Amino acid sequence: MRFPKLQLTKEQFKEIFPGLSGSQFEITSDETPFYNCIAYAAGDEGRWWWPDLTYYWPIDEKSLSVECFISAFETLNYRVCSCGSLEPGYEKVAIYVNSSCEPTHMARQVNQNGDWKSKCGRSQDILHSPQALEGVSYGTIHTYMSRPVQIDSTAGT
Amino acid sequence: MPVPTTEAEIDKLNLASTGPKTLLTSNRPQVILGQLLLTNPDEHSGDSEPDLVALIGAQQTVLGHIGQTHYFDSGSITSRFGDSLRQCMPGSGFVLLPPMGSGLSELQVEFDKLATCWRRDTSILSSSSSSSMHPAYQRIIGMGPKVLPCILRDLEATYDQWFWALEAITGQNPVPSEFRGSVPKMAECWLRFGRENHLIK
Repeated sequence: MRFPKLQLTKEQFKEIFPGLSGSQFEITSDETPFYNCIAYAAGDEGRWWWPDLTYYWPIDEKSLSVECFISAFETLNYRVCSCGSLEPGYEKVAIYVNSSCEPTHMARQVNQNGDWKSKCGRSQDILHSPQALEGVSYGTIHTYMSRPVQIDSTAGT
Repeated sequence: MPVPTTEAEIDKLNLASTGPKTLLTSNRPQVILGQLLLTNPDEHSGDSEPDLVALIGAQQTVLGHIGQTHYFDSGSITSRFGDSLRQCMPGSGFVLLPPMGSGLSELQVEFDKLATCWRRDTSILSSSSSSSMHPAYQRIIGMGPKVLPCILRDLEATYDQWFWALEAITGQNPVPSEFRGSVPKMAECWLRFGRENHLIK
């Protein structure tokens, strides 16, 4: 088995996401085709999540809408909140949308420093500020959700 | 020679090349960065296809054969059957095209070219919908059932996101609902489907 080598360098990430320049940014994993950003935000690194009949989705409703993504993450005890700032005792996820308000990406807050991480498609995981990924590729952040920190969660590792 | 930055420029330079081999590279991220084009089949003697060799330090590693898409992380790439050696950017990918008269099908060459283009443009997308709507991916679907062996061989080698294309072309989905999202299990279901239908060995 060899993966298709979709590994990007830091400079290549900065070309794709100009907001990464000048902000804290690290590549934190190798590429893998086994999970995507939605799964990563959910703490599942063993499946590819997408609301269709091909991939995994935790609820019966399958539509490319913010409401459907919110409903999916409500099953993980997340609730919509007002912002992405650090709140002790809570962990957060962010839903990015394109100009048609269709979800394109999700990121999650990973530790008590308020850092965020994303799995970028079939490429790598990166540590970033949430706004740094806004732009042509992922659009803008539409919704934040939060939940009390899970004792057994992998988030924050 | 100017460094090409688009596929069209790479194609143009490759086609214009009169030498036996030309490895063209660019510095664009995760693009098909070049093609090693064997334009002189007479230079390649023997029955086997030329190997593509990576030189990493003093160690030689055979990467693959004609028609496959090749990627490497570091080191130099050269053809075992030639004297040309070109440096490539780490992480580059390219397709080794067949010499004229070789047995490799035009279909496989076209598939590899489209697949590389699709990967280049969609690697950071998590949206399976957007990734599958890419023009190159759609062209692969449009090639119909004859391209299924190419897709299945690539799936076996890379575990990449070929599931939408396979469903679209075959009108079937052999993946049980409990395996949805588990890429290795989904791939295995499709590879079994391919073997049962004599699409792959």
